[in-house]
Amino acid sequence: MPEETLFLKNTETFAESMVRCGVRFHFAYPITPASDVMKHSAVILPAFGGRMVQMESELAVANALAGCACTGRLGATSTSGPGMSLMQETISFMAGAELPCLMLDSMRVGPGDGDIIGAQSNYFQATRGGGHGDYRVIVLALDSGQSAVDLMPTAIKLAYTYRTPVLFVMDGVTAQMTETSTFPEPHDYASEFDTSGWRYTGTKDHPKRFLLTGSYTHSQGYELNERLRAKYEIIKEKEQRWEAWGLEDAELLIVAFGIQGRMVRELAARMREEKKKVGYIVPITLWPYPDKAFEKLPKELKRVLVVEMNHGQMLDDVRLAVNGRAPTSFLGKTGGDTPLCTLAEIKAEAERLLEA
Amino acid sequence: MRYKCVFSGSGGQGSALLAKLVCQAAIVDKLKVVMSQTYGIEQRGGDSTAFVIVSDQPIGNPLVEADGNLGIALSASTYGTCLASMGNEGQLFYNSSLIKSEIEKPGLTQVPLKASDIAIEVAGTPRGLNLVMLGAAVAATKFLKVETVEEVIRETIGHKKAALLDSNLASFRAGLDKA
Repeated sequence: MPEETLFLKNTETFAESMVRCGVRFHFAYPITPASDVMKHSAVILPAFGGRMVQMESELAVANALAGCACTGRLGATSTSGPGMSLMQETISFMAGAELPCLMLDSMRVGPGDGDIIGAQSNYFQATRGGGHGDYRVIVLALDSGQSAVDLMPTAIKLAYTYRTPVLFVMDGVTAQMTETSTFPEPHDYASEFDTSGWRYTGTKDHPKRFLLTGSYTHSQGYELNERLRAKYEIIKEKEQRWEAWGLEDAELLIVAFGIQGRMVRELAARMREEKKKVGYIVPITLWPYPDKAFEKLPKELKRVLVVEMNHGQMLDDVRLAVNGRAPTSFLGKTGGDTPLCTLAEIKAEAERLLEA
Repeated sequence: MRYKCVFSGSGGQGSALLAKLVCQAAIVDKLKVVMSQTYGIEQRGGDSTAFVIVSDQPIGNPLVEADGNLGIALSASTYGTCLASMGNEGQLFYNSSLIKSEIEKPGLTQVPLKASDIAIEVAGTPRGLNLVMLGAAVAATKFLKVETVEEVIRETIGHKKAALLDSNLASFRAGLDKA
């Protein structure tokens, strides 16, 4: 199967991409706007020797994912906010037991059942762990089908290298768009990693193994957390990813991720043509947050504008990264027929801030 | 080049098929494409609008936000929505068999076409009205190649319903001639 360009819904592109990169087990439960991922993987997985398994609930999904990971195989799931919330107990377990998996949160409006239209309302849940305990999962932001194709090998590498769940977040508007994506030749990245030192294989040739997160002594709880802390420090140091543009002399820096980041790229180029000094930082990893992108801010910088499809979540991380060096403004909304800031709205706010 | 297209119609009129054909033809012509549709709690026969952006450059902003420059409105109840998504330049083709009065929009060229009547005339049924409109839009703007669109109609419609291919091609060609 050589390189090919397909015209698919971005949810379908996500499914294609994970399967072409080696995921053979997809556990899921239907929920808008993520159901197309499982519908598509159910059709294509058998030809790759895998299966999509529709479980009876999201709790079952997460536990199947954990069971699959215990055998060293890479499992994946796809869901949206309410489903993501139901899975958190097991995701916390997987982070503690250091079990790799891939997850997609095709984000919709919350809280509660909220609305089925797209949003970026799960930034806090995604980047703060989501469940109980001192843990994080690696979070990758998608802004198109192509970005899922491009990031999938990286996600699998991160999941195995650091033995951690990796979570993709994509707003439901992007998820429901149909566009062209170019896929490279399929390659099974998942089977390239050596899991023989920790996976459950029976005890014929080695002593009993544990993939537990409970401790028998207080010192074990301490050791578990110190081990996780050391790992998270390495991830923070080595795995920050972002795109930056125009930072050499920007007076206004716009920070946005996902679909709003994609729009800001076009807006910044357009405003530069109008001789307005605008630059952007588009985070690709939401955890670890790309603090390094903010290390050298331009001396001309007057203001930072954060744009999100929520009421200000990544805003907290931007404020931490900017650390008082420039005033930070926010533009965002959630819900409605057009549940995001339009280019015209962002441009008007950017112009207002530049003139202020 | 960048065309921001708005295709609106009522259930069964084929605005979604129209959007799909445009996307597939654009892909054959090596153009970039993004398609999005209004979605929610929809019902059969309800109104729907599809947005398609066709460009020879990578597409940043995937939204059509009152800046559409190629519109096709198939029914009276969706004409207003379609018009609202259009900008102040470009062309809006509307089905004047069903849309009886034009609402003026400064800068926008509006082209009436009795698409339902033309479809009945050439194919004996109004169902090809979406292809009549597509023909007219392609002839007037040349945003897609005629032969590519015909190839895609053959593949898409001929593949599923071979019996309907001739009447759909006839509708498309009638649209080309009327523009």
